[in-house]
Amino acid sequence: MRHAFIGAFVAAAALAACSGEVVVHPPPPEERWVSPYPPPLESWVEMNQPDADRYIVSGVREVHVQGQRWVDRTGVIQVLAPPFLDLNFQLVFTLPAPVAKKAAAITLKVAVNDEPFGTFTYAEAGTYEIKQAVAAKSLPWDRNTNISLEIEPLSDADWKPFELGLLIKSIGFQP
Amino acid sequence: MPIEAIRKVVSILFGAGLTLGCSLLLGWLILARLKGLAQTITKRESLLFSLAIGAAALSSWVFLLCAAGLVYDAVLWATADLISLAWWRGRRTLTHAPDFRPEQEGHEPGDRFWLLLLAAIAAFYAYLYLPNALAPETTADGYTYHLGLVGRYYREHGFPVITTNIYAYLSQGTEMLYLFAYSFGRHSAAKMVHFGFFLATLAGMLLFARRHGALAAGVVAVVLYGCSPVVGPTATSSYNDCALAFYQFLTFYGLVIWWKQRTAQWLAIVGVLAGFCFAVKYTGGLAIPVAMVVVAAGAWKQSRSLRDPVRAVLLVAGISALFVLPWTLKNAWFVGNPVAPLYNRVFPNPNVTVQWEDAYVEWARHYSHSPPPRSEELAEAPLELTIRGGKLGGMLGPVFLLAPFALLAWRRPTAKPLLAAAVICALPWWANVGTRFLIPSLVFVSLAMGMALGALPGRWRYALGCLVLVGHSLSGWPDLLLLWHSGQLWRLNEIPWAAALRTEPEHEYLQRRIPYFKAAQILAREAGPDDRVLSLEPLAEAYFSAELQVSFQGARNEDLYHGMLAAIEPDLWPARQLRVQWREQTLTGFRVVQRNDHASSHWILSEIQFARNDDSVDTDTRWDIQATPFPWTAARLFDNNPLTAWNSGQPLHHGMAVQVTFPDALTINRAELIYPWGQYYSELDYFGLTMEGKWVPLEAWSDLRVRPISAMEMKAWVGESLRRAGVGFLVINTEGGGHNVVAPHIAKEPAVWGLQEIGQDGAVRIYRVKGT
Repeated sequence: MRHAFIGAFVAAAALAACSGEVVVHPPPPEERWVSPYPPPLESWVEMNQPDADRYIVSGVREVHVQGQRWVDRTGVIQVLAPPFLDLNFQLVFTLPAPVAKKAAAITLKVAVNDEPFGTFTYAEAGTYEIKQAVAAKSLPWDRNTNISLEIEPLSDADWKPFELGLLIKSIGFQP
Repeated sequence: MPIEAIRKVVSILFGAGLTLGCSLLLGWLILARLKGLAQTITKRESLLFSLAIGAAALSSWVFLLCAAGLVYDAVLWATADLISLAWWRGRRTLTHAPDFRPEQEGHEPGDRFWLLLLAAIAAFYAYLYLPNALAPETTADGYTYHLGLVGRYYREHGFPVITTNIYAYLSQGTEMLYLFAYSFGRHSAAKMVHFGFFLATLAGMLLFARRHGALAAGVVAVVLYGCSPVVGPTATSSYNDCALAFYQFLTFYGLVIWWKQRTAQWLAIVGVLAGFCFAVKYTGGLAIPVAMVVVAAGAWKQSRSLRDPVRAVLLVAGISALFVLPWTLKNAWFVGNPVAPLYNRVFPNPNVTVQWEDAYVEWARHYSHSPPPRSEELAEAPLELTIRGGKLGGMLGPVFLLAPFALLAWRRPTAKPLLAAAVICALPWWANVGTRFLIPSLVFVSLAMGMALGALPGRWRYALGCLVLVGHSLSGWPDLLLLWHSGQLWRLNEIPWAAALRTEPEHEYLQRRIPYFKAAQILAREAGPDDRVLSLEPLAEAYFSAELQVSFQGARNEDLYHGMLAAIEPDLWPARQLRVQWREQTLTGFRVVQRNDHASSHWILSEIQFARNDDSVDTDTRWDIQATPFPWTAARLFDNNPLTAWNSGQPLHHGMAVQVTFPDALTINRAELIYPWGQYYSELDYFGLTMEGKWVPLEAWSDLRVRPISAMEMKAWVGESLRRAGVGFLVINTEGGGHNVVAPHIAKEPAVWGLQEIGQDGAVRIYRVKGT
């Protein structure tokens, strides 16, 4: 009798210990978390993408022409850089012929989070691509990175509002 | 002495006295039922065994009360009353048991000398130990889980289902007695119960030595064991190592008597004692197979037939099982693993991961996360255990460097089993190198050393005996120890009579002795018994009522912690988005199988989304999701929240799989798998379940892209995930190690993490969880 009792205990313990096949199900919609935050920015923005406005801080016209947007003398764009990869700063832009002609040459100053990143000079109209490596771990990953573009003409001609600038097609950081 | 203080001290002594007294009376009642037993032992021995057997029975009774949710003061009072009444009615049969004259191996002259020497040393050490035992609990394991859990059982009138504290899974035979004492005298009463077991061990050692005509050896052993610097803080706290030493020694004692008497009664007693060793501490379970082997060998030697050994072994095993099964059944029921928190590969469960177990087992073997080679550790062990003590949590005392001389006692008949028991009881030390784990073995080593000393010629025996005993007792005395040691080790370091007698207010003493006690006080004020506190730092949970979840003491806690770590550790961000595509097919299931192996990386998946071309498929709550291993969190793969993840909980190996089956077939050609950036070693195969019910490999191609992650969102999710897990408070230590690596980040901007600071205690911050 006693051994039967113990045997039953052992069997019960063994049964209880067997986890069997566990099947779970997706939670119902009302239990799912809805983030109060907007989707994070990417590290790279094409000016013709539908949500490009989210990347523009200042100085970039809303209207885009043939996938490009006009940047005034100064423009600021924000992106979110991933921390995992070695990144290059990349900018594809067009220097319009009237601007190139009147300015003789322009100097494009790029700053990242208010720190000078590079200075580039162009004398002729055309489409250009800047690609320059970013120092490792120099970009923050817990907040957006501001990229500032500042255009300076070589000549000291008078410039009307919105006359000096360039058209950018895409900007940001890519591996 | 204020009246409140007197009342408190009386309640402590009453609680401990009632517990030990009830154990004694209950034990007497049980022993009286074993006919003929009284004729085999002295009255003093019967007291000793009564205490042991009665405490085991009382502990089991309290276990049943806990299981039934009947831990109320009235029920415990009734228990004490019934035991007293039963004893009163049966006392005549007990007190009239004839005294037994022990079979002595020889007569020891000069017993008086040794007893006087013992009395002198004992008087000093009583002055040291008694106030430490009577004072409020300030030892780390005592004010955290030993009495933290006892307090919780008391408040909840039984066992709540605890799945967030691995210490709640350990056997707690002694803690059941602490609970009995706690209900009358609170924390210090529990400590006094443990101290009672320590004193009983000393008495047992003397009785054992006397039984074998070697009282001097007993005196030497009592001083060696009782004055050991690691034994002092253990015996005077609510730990359980000295209780285990008591039970393992009495199991041995019982076996020695059985070996000579060969009565079934002693087999029953040995069964109880060996079984209760497991109930006191898992490592004590070793006593059961050893006892079975001894009785099998003894019975075989006597009868030379199989029948007797089998019957003896079954009797011991059957009775031992009565003390093993309750704890294993409780674990099987609550945790899903009868021997939790170990053997989770054999008993997979949602509450302890293999990952946690492997890390814990490895840490316990070294007391270090980056240990030197084992050979170096073992070479250092003798000095570390006996003289240094800083790394392994206490020291035995320099005198134990002489332990090999115990072999000189080899010729005495009792020395061989003593030495064998010393080795066997030391075996758990291999798995947990804490000095405390040698305390049970120390009893046997001390007795053997005492016998070796007794083997010396007359004058040498006295001279060396005095030298060893006085030297040992002086070298371990708190102030004198500092003359030859830095004091940086676990030890008794004061004689707190004021705290013991409560003339120093309890909270002042606790504040002085317990790190971050103010944090516990804040939680006692702000959090109620229904609140949960997640802490990255062990806290004095015995002094507040909320449920404490220490981040590294349970799989669910670690899971919450990993959410915090992910917010600051980009490798844990769900930033990899693998687009797997195949020729459009109608499927009733999808399976991802791991085909790589890696010893130190786990497989983690955050989200799976299906699509047909660019049209994503809505998740259906009817989908069946399975994962191997650790299936319990696999629903997170389909909760549309990449910040939650399924984790294999053990090193990545081929054959691990996640699958989902659809009640309605889906025509799909794409699956997006989102997982953390740090998943460098995953290599996956994909299978589809056809309409015919057959899993077939999908001829898939894939491309990987980086998902943008908002660190702010990750941080915000932390507060929300805590809130969803029912955690109301978070405690961190900005200067702490281990999991506190996230603490400075949280302290910088708690609101972003969905937290609100409600208090500070030095570097410790206490937050109320707000969520999003």
